[in-house]
Amino acid sequence: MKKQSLTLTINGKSSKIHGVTPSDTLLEILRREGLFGTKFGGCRKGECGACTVLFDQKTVNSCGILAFQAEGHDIRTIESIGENPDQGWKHTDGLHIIQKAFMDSGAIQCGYCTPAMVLAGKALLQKNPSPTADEVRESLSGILCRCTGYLKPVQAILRAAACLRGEIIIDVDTPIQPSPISDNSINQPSENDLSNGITATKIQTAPKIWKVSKPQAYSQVGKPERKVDAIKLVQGKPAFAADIELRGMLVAKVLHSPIAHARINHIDVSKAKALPGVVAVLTWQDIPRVVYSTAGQSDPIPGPLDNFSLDNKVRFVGDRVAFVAAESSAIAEHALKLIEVDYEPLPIILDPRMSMDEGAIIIHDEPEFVNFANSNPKKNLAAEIRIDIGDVEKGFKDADFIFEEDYEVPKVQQAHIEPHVVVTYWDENDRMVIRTSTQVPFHARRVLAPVIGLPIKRIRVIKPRIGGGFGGKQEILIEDVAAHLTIATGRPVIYEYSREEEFIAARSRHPMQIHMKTGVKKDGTLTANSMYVLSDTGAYGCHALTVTGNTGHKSMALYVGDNQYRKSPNIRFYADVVYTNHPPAGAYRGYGVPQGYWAVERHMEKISRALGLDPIEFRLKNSIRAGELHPFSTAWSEGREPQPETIETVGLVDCVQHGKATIGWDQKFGNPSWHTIPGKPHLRRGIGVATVMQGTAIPYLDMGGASIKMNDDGSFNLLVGATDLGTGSDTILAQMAAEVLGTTTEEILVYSSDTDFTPFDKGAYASSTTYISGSAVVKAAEQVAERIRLRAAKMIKERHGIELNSQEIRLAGKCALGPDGKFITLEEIAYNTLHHAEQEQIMAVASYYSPVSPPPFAAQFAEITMDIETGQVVVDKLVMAVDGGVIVNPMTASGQIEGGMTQALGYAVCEEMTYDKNGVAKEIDLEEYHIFRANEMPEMETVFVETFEPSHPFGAKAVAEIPMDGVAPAVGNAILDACGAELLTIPATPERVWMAIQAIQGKENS
Amino acid sequence: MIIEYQRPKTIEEAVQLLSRDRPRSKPLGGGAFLSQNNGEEIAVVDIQSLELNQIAQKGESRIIGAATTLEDLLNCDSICDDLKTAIGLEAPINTRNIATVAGAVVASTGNSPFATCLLAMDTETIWLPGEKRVTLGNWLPLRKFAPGVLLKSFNWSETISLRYFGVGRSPFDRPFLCIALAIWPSGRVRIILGAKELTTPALVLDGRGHESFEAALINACSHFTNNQYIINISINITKRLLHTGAAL
Repeated sequence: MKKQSLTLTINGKSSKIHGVTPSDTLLEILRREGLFGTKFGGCRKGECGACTVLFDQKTVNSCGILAFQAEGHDIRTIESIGENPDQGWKHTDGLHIIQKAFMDSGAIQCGYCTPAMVLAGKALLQKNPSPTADEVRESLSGILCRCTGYLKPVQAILRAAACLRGEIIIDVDTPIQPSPISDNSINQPSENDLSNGITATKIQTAPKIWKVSKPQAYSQVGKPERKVDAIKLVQGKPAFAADIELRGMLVAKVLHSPIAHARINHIDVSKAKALPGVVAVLTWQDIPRVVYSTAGQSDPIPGPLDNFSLDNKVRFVGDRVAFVAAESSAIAEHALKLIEVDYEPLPIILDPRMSMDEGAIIIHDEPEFVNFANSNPKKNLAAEIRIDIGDVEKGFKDADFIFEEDYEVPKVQQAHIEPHVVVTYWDENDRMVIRTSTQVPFHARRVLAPVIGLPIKRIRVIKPRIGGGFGGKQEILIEDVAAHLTIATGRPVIYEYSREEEFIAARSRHPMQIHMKTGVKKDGTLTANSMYVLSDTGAYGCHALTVTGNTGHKSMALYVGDNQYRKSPNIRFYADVVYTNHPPAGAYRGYGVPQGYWAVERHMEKISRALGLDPIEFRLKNSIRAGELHPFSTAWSEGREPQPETIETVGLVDCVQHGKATIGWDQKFGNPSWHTIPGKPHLRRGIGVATVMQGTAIPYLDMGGASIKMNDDGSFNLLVGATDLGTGSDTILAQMAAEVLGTTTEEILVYSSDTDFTPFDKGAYASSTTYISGSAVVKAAEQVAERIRLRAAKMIKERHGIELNSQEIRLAGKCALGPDGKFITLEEIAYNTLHHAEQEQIMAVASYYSPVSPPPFAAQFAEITMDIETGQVVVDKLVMAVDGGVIVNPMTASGQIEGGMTQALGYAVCEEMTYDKNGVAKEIDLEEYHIFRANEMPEMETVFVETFEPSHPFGAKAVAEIPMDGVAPAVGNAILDACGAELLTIPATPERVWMAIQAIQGKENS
Repeated sequence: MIIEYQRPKTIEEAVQLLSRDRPRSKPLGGGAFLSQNNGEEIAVVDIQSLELNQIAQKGESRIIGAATTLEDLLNCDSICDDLKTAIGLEAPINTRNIATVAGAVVASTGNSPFATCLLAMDTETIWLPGEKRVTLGNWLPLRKFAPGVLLKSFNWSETISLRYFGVGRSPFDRPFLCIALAIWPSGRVRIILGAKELTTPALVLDGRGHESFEAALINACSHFTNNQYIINISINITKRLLHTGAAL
């Protein structure tokens, strides 16, 4: 196609741009020009808004307009907004006030949509200096964020607006303590809630914290520090995997199967290879046949090995058929259309209930299949779990009542806004460099080595910033594609998923059918609780065993019963994880637990109401308490030898009390007048609750490492293999290191992660980074601190003639302090050690793995309004009170809760991946697959209930996954509360809710 | 694939460009249709310089230029609230800032809130050259672009009372089912049903009085579904719109 020139005015500068084709979008040209702050979200209809630019001062999606359309218009990208204020001798205007507000307010998580949001805020404030929160939400509504839940970005823009108006702005670190609890009053804003009076709009971003344990005196831990990577993310710096230019880089594309199950009889790639600009086409005949699992887990992979880079068989619509590398994306896509494939269709299985039927087609008939535990490919069984704790049958016999019900949960997508993306190239040492957006760089290196035929030592995996992962990137999903093509061509290759590929070829949450059977006494004592799960792993068994194991391990552990049953609970958890011809499921935030809690918490509500018991009291009566054994710790450990674990801290009662007070439970629950709306007979209000527990890391298995090195100026390099996927883990690791080293967080320079330079870490999953990697950081910091104290003792003796033991010296305020106040600064110590005397490099490496997995606990509440004529449910408010141990950074932790609740809200009411009778996905974009936008969010509130977990140096547990667990059942219970309808399947679509309403009306009529 | 881009400065030039059959030429508004391009080699004729973005009133008629953006229409004070609601649901703000009214209509689906409302108002389309008038109800099901013609504007009567309601999975989800109902001072009632299963929103009823609307809705639904839920809520929503207009 003819290439032309055009003149664009970008960021106030007019430039002639050459080599533009008429079909090039503005996004493509901006990124080609090095303006990487404008992001690609993989979509075709501009659904995600990550590519937002200002077009004559209005926000538009640059992926949705042609570059030629932009000629004559004023285009502004994030690069025009502000810059780092500290650039040595050069004076700069610094960051824009909106950028500062985003950093201060904790509005940045993964940062992938941040440039777009900053631009949207700028456009809004230019025309409306005093926006309401609703107007801010509307201005952000074109930009999808999967991390934040939008609360903090909205507050950031309101904060910037107030600042621009010259108002006094409160500090974000002003602590807020919830009011003392009174069961009969709604928790009113406390005196410390400074959102009133200073500005008309709410700009307070810090969460409320209730300290159960005596507060510790920390200087860094517990502070709402700015994220250490915020400044680059807010400027849209080229921090992500795709933000790189390499000479001669090819674009990879994959031909995906249009058929759910077939043998490939023949592939003709001759026409594709002949297309000018195509450099390589690979099929299963071109690469080694190595069986592996794409799951990013520690060795040995706790699941079957059933996957090949390319195979002579396809097992789902979206499975891989061929790889293409070409000079451009358009050529590569054209080449895909020229590949001719002769498929021999096979019978398909889409209903997991049919997978194990006698005579069912075997999806994995390959001889290389490697079993794990009880997997059995001949039965289409990827994993089988049979756990009995206590005497379940006796427990049922003891019961006065038996309650049984079937529940169902859907397949849902992680929908991180940055798609899967990888860049591969040979370095000057002929080592394969894999720059990839992954949660598991070290697992990726280990798993890929045999697949691409290189030893581990000849592979380097670099993890830049990650634009969200949520488990979707705990998978070695696409790295092999680019690596194979780099091997084939010798050239750098980039492979970036489109949004459609995310839906048809990436991983998802396992859909499950769950049967509950529960025995209970008249007084509400549980005598036995049983769950059977049929889980659909799709065409491959990645995470099949461990996700489904977690379903029971966490959700069935919460309710142990009371009295004698508390001492010896009767719990059964059985599961069959079966293959079907759906796209594979995998890891997704919560890792099986949200599925379990939908069933358990709906079931507990059903039982409590049937027995006429208060649903909260019933739950607390039967729930696990501090000092008790985790019931599953004696029975199961992901296919390994179980080891008993005592749960030391349980803040559930406080969570319930604070959650109740925050949502006004006592005023609403059981109050008929609150449930109706005068003048609107078709509307009903409802309120619901769910109590939940999660885990913190995988005991005796997952390990994290850290290394710390002291620099001349008393700053430190902290190198971690842990992978901050937007959670803020780099920041809280820096805070913990700073706490031990007596310095500030900004003196800790965090680098994560690169398999060549950073210590091993299992990666970001299982809610483990704060706990596992954090403990490793603390161990390394303690070693460094001891070296500093020893050196300080020497220097104090030389300087002041005072003999001190190193243990008498403490580190604080960037100094080493003696008991009498004599001190040496860290900078002086660094100079002394590096240059002046007995020279040494003060540094240390440490690692940590845990014998326990202390669970966080939470009470989650939902308030809804529903239309009983249409079944439409609107969630008005979500509250989560969570015991995550000591909160290292309230700002990033509350961001985790808000973002998690928002994802869980989608799980509750609208997200669902569905397929036609041929296994073809119905949802392939973020319009059909709806995730919540800024202008439709409910009010959300977070309360932290701080216990002190003794197994962590600073008392921390996890918070990242638990918000996923209780929103759906709380919404389901609120629907029941509103209209009596028993919803057994999520999402709570209007049709499902309406059907549930019809069912109760049918019962009443009969 | 787009192989040629043109930005004519006059209507005549645009019409001439659109008359070509090699390359096949299509008008380009905001770009809404780009996502629908099936790979066919086409030339695009960008209408942004043609000043077709005026919003005007002539007598009792509201005239909306084809190149008016959805956001400009949404922010127009004289547009009724229910039409604003429909525009807000049609696309998020980033898209509304660039998508034109014509582009949104041309690329609309069967559950398009905006198209459902325009059809309910029995909107007229005006085409260049020659100011030929065609009702949207006649044009949209076929969406036929004759070579050398250009959509100039949309007209509807300002005297109409428009009511709209849709049902989606969340407050700003594109509705899977929506109803728009227009009532003229004369007593004429026109009801349009939008649904995900349709390619174009369907006419349910057009006439004086609405006594037969239930039967008409059942009939309209029967062309694409036998789902009792859809039929039932269509009736309930329409009843509600006829009597109160109350929304959740």
